[in-house]
Amino acid sequence: MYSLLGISESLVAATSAQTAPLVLAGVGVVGFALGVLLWLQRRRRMAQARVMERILDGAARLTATRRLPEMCDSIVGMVGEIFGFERVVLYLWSDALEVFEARSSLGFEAADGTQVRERTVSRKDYDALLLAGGDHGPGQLVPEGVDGDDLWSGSASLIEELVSPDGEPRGYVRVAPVARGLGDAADDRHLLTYMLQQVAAAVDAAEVYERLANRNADLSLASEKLASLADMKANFVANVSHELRTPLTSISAYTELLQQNLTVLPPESLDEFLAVIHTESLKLTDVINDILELSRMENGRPVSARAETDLEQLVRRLEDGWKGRAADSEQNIEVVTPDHAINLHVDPVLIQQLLTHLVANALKFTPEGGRVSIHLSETGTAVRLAVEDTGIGIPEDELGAIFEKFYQVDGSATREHNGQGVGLAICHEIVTHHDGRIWAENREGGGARFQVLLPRRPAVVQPSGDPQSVLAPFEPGEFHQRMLHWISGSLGVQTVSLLQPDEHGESLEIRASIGLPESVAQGVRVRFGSGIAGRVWATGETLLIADVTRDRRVDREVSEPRYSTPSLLCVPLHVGGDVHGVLSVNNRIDGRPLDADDRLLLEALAPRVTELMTQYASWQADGRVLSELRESLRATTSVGHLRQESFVEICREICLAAARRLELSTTELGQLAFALRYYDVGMGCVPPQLLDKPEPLAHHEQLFVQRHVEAGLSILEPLRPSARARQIILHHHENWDGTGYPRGLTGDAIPAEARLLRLTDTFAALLSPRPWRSAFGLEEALTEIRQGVGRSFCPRTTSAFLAEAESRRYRIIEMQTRGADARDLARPALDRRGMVTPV
Amino acid sequence: MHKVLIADDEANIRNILDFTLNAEGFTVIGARNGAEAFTLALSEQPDIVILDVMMPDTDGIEACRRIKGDKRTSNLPVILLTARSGSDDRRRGREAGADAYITKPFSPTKVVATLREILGANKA
Repeated sequence: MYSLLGISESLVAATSAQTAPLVLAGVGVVGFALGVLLWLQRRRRMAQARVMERILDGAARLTATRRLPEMCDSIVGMVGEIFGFERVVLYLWSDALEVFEARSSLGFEAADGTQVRERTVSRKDYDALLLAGGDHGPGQLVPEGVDGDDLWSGSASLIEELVSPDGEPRGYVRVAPVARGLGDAADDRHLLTYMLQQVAAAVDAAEVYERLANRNADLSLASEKLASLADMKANFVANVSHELRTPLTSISAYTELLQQNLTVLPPESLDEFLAVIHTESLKLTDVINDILELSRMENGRPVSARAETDLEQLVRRLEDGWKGRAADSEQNIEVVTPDHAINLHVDPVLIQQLLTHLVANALKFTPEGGRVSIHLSETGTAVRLAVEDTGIGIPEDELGAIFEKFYQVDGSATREHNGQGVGLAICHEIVTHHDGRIWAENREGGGARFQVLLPRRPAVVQPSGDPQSVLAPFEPGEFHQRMLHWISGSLGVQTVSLLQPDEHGESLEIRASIGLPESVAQGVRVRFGSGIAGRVWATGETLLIADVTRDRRVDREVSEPRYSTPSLLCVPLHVGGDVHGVLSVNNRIDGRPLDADDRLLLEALAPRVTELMTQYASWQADGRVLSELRESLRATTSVGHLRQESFVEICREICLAAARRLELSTTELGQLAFALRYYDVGMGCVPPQLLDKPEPLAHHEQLFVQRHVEAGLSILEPLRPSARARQIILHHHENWDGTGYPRGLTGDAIPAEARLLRLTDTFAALLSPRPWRSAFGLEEALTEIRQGVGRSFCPRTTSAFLAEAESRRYRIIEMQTRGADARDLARPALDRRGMVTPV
Repeated sequence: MHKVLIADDEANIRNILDFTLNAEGFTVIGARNGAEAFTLALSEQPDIVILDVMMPDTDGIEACRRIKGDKRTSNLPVILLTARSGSDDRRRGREAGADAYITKPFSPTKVVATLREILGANKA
């Protein structure tokens, strides 16, 4: 291979070594030497010109390439070929990950070469590299061993920035080996700089093209959304107008009639007319109230008027009214509740409204002789409310949209049933206000079922109140409250406490807690080094205790009454080298002991918690950041937890077990645990009608669904996930054969954790029902996964995953036979239809 | 004595028109939707039809189109009655061949006046 750098070195060596003695040797010799020099320089210039030509050629070819991955390969190929470097890597800045991502490489053996493309370099590390070079010529010479990156061991390397025409840094190329003396071969480096200037424009264009392709998909969907929004607006006007005018017409016509014929009308007609006027006025009032209510709900939350409310009693109180209405149209009402109180901290007026609307809606779409049943039950840590009817059902692709304001499945149906979509829109607002989920589904055998999950979240006790002053959108105490519920929901535990040193730094006190009696939360003082929390504070190390009643480190007398399950997990909150607080969790809702997986997750959450707490004060100035944080916490906090294991949980367990089998490091496992918990949150941004569409999706619709990955990352952003966690989430839909998204990575270039997540997501989805198919049995699901090896899935991770899944065979089968309960609660997280709450 | 066919899915509206028109000496037949209105227009041979636009199944516009498109009923005057005030409905009504248009809420007296006007013009 032709090496320009090689030539330059010998040239430089020749000129510098020979010039001095030649001058001394005399004019004739000087003439000869000059001739040689000129000849050499001419040869060198010709070589440079040839290189220049090839660069221009290559750049021209590149401009014709539109796909970024191909372009990256071409650039790396050109640098290698023209300049003769053995190792070349092209890094591009990723806005999504906020790191430089290796996008293409050359010259690495398969063994480590496959690893190259999953490498990332943070901005900080990159800046450090540049500083280490200390060279201010074109390009940056990095001495060997500066960054400890094994890719670049063995020789010095050269970094050349890729700067777009508008001066924006896009990434860089790093090459090796760079032999000694390169510092003098400035010309070659100028050539490399020149080349990268040429290609930067092409990279820029390809990135713009890529972004445009995505934008196009967004735009076409947005335009569809706009069109349907315009339809909805037209429907809104038509429906409201209709709803208002129908009763008004009767009222005004009957009034006119009375005025004109008052003296001649027989008394029974008089009564009849007045009754019509009265009923129609009531209808009118209802419609107006609904519209006002919706607009109130939408213009900010109503003042919290929450109180401990017995929902069982509330439902029973409303029952007679429903039965009266149903009897008028010969429908049957059935109310099924447990025979005990179901207390929940809610706004009773709003919940009554919710029930009234759901039942009215069901009655409206149920024919004479039909049945409407209202079920109230407790599922794990959520209260479930289901309203079923035997009516006409809802078209499958409309299931998500019916909660939109004034959405109508069919204009004529509206008319027939005398009402419009305000009711369901109000329901959606009420449920969202309570951090719950609402969704609709069709029942097997006909009719619709509306389901509501209202989370039962224990009150957060904050002995000293919310320490920081509070700005909107957070209400007083809400910051800690949301954060603790986020932790308790993420781990599925009932008890969480956040302890921090008191002002003297002598003992820990509880800053905020859930699940502890108030007296305990108020009174706890833990001395440095004593008890569990005190030890964690002193040592800065996590403690996972299997059985607090038997652990000698625990003061039994104090601790015992607080723990309904014996295990406890306590992690330090590090700020720099100091322990700034301690986070302690126990009482898993499903009754199982806390295990190593929980430890991984809580240790991954701890830095996030620390950062939120330290940043919260500084974010106060910026309402937008806070409101994003609030939404982020809301979207990532689960609604309810089962009191028994769920599919999602066992799938997560399989994933982490497989990761351990593949010998991932503890840090990697932690980030995987974090990604596993939240990777799918972006699904809430995909219009439900796309997710539920039984037919294959059109290309632009597919692109839109694919955007859920980036949407998820942006929802998580306020929680500041680590670069690795972002990377795992970003790549969890890549396929082994390169046909996945968003980057189309192939094989080992896909991070191993992302490959595992891909398997986990697919496996969990197979085990759950979809609108167009029922759930797969375990064997079918395993077969499906096996058949995807080599196409969707990596062979190595799949065999680890399958081995771990097989070893949990009986637990999965037992869960499947246990039936709907587990699936229902998993649904909002897994099946997404429930995630119509705005995120 | 003129025979008026009234199609509206709201019983209150049918009743009030029935009451008013009876008092004014009309014979009234009621229909609950567009399809029924078309059938009755054929079998009962009314002198004029009042159709509500927003009705389940076959709406007023569609019923009007059928009446005006059928040789046996195409001469029958049609008045559209609707809660909608949108110009789009008026346009659709005109295209379907409607003779007049009354917006809800309406005055029963005015309905009578409109009926008389159209029937009078028809006679002349």
